Amino acid sequence: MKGDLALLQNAMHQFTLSVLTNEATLKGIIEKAGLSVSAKPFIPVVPPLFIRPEVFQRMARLEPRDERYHVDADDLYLIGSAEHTLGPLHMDEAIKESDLPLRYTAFTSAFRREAGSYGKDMRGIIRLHQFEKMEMESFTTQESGLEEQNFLVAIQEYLTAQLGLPYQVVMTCTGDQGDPDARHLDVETWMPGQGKYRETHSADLMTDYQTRRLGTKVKRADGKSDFACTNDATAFAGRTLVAIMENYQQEDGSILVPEVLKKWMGKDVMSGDRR
Amino acid sequence: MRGSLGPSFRQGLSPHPSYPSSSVPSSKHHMIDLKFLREQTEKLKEVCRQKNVALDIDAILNLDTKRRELSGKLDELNRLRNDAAKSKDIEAGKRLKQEGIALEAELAVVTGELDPLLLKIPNPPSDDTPVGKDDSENVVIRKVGEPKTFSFTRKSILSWGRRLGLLTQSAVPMLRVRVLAI
Repeated sequence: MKGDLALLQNAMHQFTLSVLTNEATLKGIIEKAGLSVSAKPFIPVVPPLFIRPEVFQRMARLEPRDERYHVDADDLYLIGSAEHTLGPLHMDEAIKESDLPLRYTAFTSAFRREAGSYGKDMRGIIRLHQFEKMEMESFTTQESGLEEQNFLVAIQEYLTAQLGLPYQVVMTCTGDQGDPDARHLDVETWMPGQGKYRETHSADLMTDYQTRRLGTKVKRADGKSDFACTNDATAFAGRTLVAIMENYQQEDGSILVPEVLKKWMGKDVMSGDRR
Repeated sequence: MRGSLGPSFRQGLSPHPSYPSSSVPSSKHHMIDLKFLREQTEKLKEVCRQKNVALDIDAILNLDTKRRELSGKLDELNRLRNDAAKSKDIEAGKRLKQEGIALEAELAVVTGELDPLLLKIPNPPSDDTPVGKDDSENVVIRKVGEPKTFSFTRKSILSWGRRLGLLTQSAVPMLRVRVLAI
């Protein structure tokens, strides 16, 4: 990826960060969605891309193992999502209830062998072994976990709508849900090239499934403690760039820049670097 | 789930070191509350069916029961060993030590079988998750925005992305196998 497409990815990162770190914007999203969660902004993180096997296991993400890239010489894995190294931020720690929610975001490369998807999306840039993704991760009490997930989905919808992309929200059924998920929603964005909605964002409610193994607890006001709840969700990934390129294509082959990205792009049209 | 004796008690036996703490399964092995496995076994079987997870829950429950029994026996044995030490009964101390080693080995086998299975127990779905076998039974809960129609024939991202200079010449052939590499 280079030229205007590299700029577009950077613009998406800047735009998304400007939303996730702005309390007033988050408050607006919460009000519009009719939620009552806190509007506490996300803390930006630059997390490691390597993860130790035991931490991966404690995140409940080591499996499916044949999906992972392993660096033999150092017995380390490459992350398949920033979630994998954001989730352990509070490993073996008790967080004070009054400090919750704790929300983090990171933009990283992600590595997946896509072992189980042979034949799917073999051409193009919709499913790659290395791709860039911005992720949201949040820690809450168990009782506010479900509403937190609805909030993360509301953010995904806001971001997609701001880009002017048509989308639908899908709730996955039990058989399509990952084993560690208690509730899984996808935002699927319209891809004119394929004539269908394709998954661009997902949101996983993990309840105490990860924190039980990570030893991440909530210390309640009354002194008791129980396991925290984690949620992880896509902020944007390479697929969103594909959606923009497809939805904003002009007859002459140039691509219009979505309004909200113009100030980060420094231009209104992507017409190639003409080198 | 810890045995009736906490690690501090074991540490209290320091002049006569106890058996390793592997008899106290670490909570990090558990993805679900084991009470759910023990007390709502049928519900857990239903969860596995709904999530297409092939797990023999009865076998896991048996191993869990076995581990708890062995763990309890080991705790009892440590107590006896401590008593023997106090009353300077060397003979009994030796015998109990041998028994402990055997129990410890048995426990290690059970734990070795049980722990990988516990890791596979899925997270129960939320009440509002639709029951279904695969992605054909996912439910669209809302649609926002109208798909645009194009009055011209659209170009494929691969050929046209390269023409725009968005994708490198060298990467495009590689993209046909999903790899970006130089």
